[in-house]
Amino acid sequence: MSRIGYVLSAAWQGFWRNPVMSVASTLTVAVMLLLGAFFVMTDRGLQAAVGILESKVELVVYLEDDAKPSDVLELRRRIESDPAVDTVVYVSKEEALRRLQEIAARRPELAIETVSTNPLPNSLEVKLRSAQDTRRLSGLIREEVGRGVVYDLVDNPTVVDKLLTITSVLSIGGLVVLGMMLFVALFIIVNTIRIAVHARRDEIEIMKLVGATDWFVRWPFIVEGMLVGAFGAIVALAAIAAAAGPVSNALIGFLDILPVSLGPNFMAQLAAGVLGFALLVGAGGATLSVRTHLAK
Amino acid sequence: MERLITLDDVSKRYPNGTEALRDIDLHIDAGEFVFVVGSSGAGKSTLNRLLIREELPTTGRVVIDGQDVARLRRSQVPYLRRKVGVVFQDFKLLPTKTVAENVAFALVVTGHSGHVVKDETDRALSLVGLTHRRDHFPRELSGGEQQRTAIARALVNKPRILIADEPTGNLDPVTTWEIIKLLVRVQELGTTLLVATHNAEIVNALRQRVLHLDHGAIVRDEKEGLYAA
Repeated sequence: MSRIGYVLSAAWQGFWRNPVMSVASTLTVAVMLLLGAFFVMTDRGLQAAVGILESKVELVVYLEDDAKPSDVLELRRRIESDPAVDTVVYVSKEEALRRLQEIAARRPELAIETVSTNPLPNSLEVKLRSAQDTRRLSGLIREEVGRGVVYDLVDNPTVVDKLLTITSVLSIGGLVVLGMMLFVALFIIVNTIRIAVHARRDEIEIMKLVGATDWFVRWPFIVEGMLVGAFGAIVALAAIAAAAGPVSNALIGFLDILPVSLGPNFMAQLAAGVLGFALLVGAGGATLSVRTHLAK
Repeated sequence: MERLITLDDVSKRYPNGTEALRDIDLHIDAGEFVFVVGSSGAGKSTLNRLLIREELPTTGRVVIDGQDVARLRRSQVPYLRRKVGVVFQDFKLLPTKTVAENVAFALVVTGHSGHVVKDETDRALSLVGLTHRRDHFPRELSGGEQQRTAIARALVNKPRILIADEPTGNLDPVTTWEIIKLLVRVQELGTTLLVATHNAEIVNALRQRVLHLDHGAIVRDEKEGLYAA
């Protein structure tokens, strides 16, 4: 048996010697990774949405699909006559979809969901001379909602503000929860490995007597820790794969008008990140455990 | 004669105040066969632990094969241990491994692989006469066979020194003689032997060097000595 073969088989045996503990730590790591991945995905989705919204005009007036063209023209004239308004541009629903596809093309983390019908409304995009007038003008236009022409009004700065707030709350909350989960995961890995060390104390004694190096004694445990991490990552990634569809649907629902989902590129990066982090946590916890329980 | 082991004014006090060894001056040449005798607690085990650097002397120097063990870095200790094989009264075999696996284990965990492991294991097993028992587990062996397995494991890395701590303490008289004959054969093949024992009969029969410890001090060091003065 080769050196690496010995380390791998000892780690594998160690993992299954105490299956309850190993499975418990694997699941803890999986939950931690799931939470982490969820926060990363949500955060990325929201940031993408913020980016898209910020790049757009300041006020968007969504029009009823069945609004009469004359009423639309009348509304447009009235808005244009306001001294605070710079320009008003009519955007058809086809134009809106085309733009969205362009944005998605430039952002590899976003992919357009195939939609059979175009869910985007016709709209008027209003650029203001100064942002301070947004609130007054949006108040005026909001009065029109429900009178047959204006379907809804998106007040960009407010939406962006809200999204930014949500994003930062999610990031901070996510980091705190993730930190706690990391602590729990490390704690349980340290204990799993401590038990593994205890179970193999006779073997370790012989190894030291016959002159095995410290690293030779340690490696099987570190690999066992990495095994816990790897299995945890597999469980988490399987859960993510199963949940990816519904979650991105929920995201689309949340963002209302943006038929976007997280692109395959991003998902690959996420999977690599999850696996890498899991291996790191597993190896780190095991190293910590071996340092304290394998001294001398 | 090449000087293999030197203890230079060595004392060992444990933190609880016990003085396990006092002012030990000792030289052992390569190829010697040395019995270490003395009552329990005389310091035999402490002497063994100093030689494999499981303990460091409180004062004085322990030099093995030219190396002051106290000056070894932690990472070098395993390489010292490969020069010093150890055998115990309770054998310390791994119950889940066969005879051959127990012996091969010492090679694998010191970084050997492939045919080296197989060849050296076969060689050690044939030296101790256990080739026919290679696939048995320790619980299927007699005490003597278990001790021979332990000796094979201790020798498989070709140590310069073999320390045997009461190697026959758990064995009947006939088996004891088998083990002693094996140890003599090991010495004849060039390994230096330190055998701690309470068995007066074998010490008196072999007439090898005898080191008598009492309360941590060497009270007698005789060439071709007897168990009691």
